[in-house]
Amino acid sequence: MTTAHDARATLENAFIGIAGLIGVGKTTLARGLAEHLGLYVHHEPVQDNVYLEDFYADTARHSFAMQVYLLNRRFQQHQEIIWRGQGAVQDRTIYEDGIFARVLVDMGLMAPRDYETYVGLFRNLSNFMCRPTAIVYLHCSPQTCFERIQLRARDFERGITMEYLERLYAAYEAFVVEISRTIPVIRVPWERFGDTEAVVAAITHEVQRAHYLRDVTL
Amino acid sequence: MRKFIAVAGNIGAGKSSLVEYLEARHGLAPIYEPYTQNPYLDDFYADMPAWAFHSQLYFLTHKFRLHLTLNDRAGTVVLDRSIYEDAEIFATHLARSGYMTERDFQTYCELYESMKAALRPPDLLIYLRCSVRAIRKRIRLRGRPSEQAIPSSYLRRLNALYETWVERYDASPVLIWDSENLDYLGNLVDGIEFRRQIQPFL
Repeated sequence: MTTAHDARATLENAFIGIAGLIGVGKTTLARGLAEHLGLYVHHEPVQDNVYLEDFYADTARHSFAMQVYLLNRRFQQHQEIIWRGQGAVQDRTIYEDGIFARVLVDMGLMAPRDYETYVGLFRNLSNFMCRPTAIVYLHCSPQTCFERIQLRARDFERGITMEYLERLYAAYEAFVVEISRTIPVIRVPWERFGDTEAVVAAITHEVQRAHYLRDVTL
Repeated sequence: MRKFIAVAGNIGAGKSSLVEYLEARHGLAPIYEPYTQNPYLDDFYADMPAWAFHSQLYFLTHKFRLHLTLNDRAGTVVLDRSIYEDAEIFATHLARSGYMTERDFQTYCELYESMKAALRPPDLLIYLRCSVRAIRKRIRLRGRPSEQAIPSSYLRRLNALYETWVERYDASPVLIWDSENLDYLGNLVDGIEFRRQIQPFL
């Protein structure tokens, strides 16, 4: 049994990334986790994202600038996490931007040349990033995400298609396998949402387990 | 790297001559910008407003990479044109001329600020100040075909941006050297004066 106190003590310096499809419920969980654990939360720029509307209105034209913009914003969050020197919750990880870029290329909405430029930029900046202690992946079908997006009725998100979400979903599934080689990924079923405290307990358990000193008897 | 000197200045202000001089005379490791095949350049020259942001972003990323490699060099390095000039002079010029939207330039600048914060600043910045007239004369003398058609108005605008930038620059000590009137290469007295000023930074 993990008490709130245990969780706070274990995770006070943890950097927890929340990953998942558009509309899955990352922001709500990020806020809840941060509150529970007394950690600082870094949200994804939505209200103040200067490209978002144009991106959904004419994706091919604005995809590159949008990706550069988001990469830099999340990079700044990484810098802030390093400077603060204490734990944090990040609403969408910097690695997920690469998933979106890849899917945009596959859908013909981003030029391969721009993708190369983007990846080159990411690689150079990656020298100065900090690695999350764990990534919480909120797992949910693209269909459910689609419905949630309809429900929250953000004007600029009206152009999001099922095809886009399905491609993203497939790319996410591949991504979590890939990234779990270097960063622990906690996959949580989020089809009907879930309990923040249960997520806290799962993260605490995983982080405690991740200390790789084992005593063996020979 | 032990110490890092950046040499800044307009086209034809004498940057490479100074870098060569510092190498020959003081044994500094010269770092020239490696030739990079910017994949946007042809498109940029055909349609500048459409491609200024992309091509500038490409240049900025490569300059950032170049700065990162300085750390692996032994001894004191001297860099011919820094990332600061990419942003403060050349990208700013394109933005002011209307080739980049305000929004894209803002995105570019934010990225530049992130990079600047991550990079080690120079120990000394040497700014070579030079009048457009003297630059024109040098461009004629060195005879690079691609440079002959550069309009004086462009050089003047760059000079103005250089002055604004150097005025505000505070990441390191700055040595402003009037490369038009002070001849550290040919004139013995100027040479002694120049060496006296840079000695503490070698």
